[in-house]
Amino acid sequence: MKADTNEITKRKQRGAMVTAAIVAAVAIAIFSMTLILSGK
Amino acid sequence: MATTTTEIEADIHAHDDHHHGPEPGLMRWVKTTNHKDIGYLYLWFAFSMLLVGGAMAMVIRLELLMPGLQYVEPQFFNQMTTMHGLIMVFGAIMPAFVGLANIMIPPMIGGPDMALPRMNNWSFWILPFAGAMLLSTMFMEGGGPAFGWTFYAPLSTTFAPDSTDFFIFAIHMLGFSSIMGAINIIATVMNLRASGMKYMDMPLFVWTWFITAFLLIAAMPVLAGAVTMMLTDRNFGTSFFDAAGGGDPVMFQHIFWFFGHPEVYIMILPAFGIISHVIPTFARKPLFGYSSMVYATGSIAILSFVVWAHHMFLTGMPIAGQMYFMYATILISVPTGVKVFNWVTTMWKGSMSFEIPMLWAVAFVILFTIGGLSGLMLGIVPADIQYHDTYFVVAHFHYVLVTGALFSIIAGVFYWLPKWCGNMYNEKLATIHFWWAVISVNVLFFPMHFLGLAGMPRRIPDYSLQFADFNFIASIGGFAFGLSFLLLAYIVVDCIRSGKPVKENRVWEGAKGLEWTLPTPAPYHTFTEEPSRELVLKESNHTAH
Repeated sequence: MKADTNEITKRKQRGAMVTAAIVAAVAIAIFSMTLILSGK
Repeated sequence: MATTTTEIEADIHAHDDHHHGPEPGLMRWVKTTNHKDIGYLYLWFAFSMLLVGGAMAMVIRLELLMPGLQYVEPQFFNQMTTMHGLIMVFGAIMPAFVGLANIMIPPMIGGPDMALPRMNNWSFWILPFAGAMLLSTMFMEGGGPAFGWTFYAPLSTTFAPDSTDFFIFAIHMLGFSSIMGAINIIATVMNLRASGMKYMDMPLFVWTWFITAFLLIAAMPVLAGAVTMMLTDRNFGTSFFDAAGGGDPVMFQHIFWFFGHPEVYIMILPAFGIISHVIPTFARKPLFGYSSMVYATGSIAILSFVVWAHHMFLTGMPIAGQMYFMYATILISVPTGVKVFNWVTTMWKGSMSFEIPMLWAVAFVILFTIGGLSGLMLGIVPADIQYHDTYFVVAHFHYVLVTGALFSIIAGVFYWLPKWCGNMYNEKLATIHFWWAVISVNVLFFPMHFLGLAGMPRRIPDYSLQFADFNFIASIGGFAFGLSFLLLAYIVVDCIRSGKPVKENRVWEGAKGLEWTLPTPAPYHTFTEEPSRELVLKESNHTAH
């Protein structure tokens, strides 16, 4: 049972890392677009 | 699958199984990755900034107590209005909501902690340095920023003091902290919910913060872009906002308000979440219209990105643009009205009792609605042409941000404080504090409506004699409201140090939610085992399943 709990936790943590990476990429893209569109 | 399982097992370290308490001493707070510790740090930082920003407000109201220049120079007065706005928005209200999110989201979703605890520590510890840098500008040669919290170009570029570069760096750091906080909240809500909690089972504070986090992710990088362009305009010869070099100062306003209007909702959506917990608890009824609350929050969030130019009706936009931004703005009143209707309907025929959090929640509903209605007036183009840049605007946004956002934070603190520290506050003192604050805040801000309608401009240290009476009344209210926060500090510290111990897990008999199934005071580590779906449904404060 202990291993199962750890497995679920580990899977959730990996999911969190992937989510965080995607959201951070979106933020960086919005920042870049602000500069690019303002310079046109 | 076998490979994946092996990999996962290889990753599991022995120390994952250990459960330890906080580290003793000061280093606990520096190194902590615990969501509650970080939340408390956010709240204390926000309260400190509230006192600093409040002190600046006292200077403003002192100067405006009577007509004529009396206590401060106009340039210093402008620094006060600028720093007061910046500190309250970025240093007080936003960190306070992030603090409440840190403390309450994991227990509300049945999670163990925030998803990215180390980043959480970093998100917080950037703040004191950014705040200190922002405040330090006031002691630099040429003074601090004096161009208003909206820092319009060219006031903030061509004509700004040297300290503006430090201000820009501080805004970058504050934005970075907010973005990291938002990433953490999104990752936590999406990944660390108890398996039995579907999206439409989530408590409303979690929903409102989840949507707010997306607003932050979309809005804060735009602010970062704006200040980056300011930086390059000031130091590296670009002309983004300089008409002489082919740029456009009005574009700054568009970019600023594309961030600035969603920012307003960043500061009010979590407030809606808190109130949606407090009212059902003390009305002893499930929240009316849970689904409509969720959809209304989403609608407000989407609409917040398409109304920014209602702050700019006087910049000379085409009639079609004015009409569009006016109608889109007025449209926001529909989902906001849904929320107010649902709170009132939740109270309708409820077994109401008026403990301290409920007093603040009821005051929120009434006074925030006043701020919303004056917002409707400002959204109407011909009316806005008269009201623009007057004290009517000051009255409007203080009703929204003080009696709205700040009141909800106070409601939330009084609602959850006994759970956090295991002690009950002095209810008699807290009642006195409530009436003191709620009366004085209206004495402070309500006369500003009349001043604005009569034509008194905002951001001025002196005024015509016909504005003297209402300014005097507003200042008296301001001093009283400012003093009330010293009593609030005493009530909270007294509660933590020597309040009457609370034994029950469910501190308020009508409270529902996974957070109330935890022991009181809340254990250092939140849910170490997932709550079941049955418990999730049993603890729901709404009926949308």
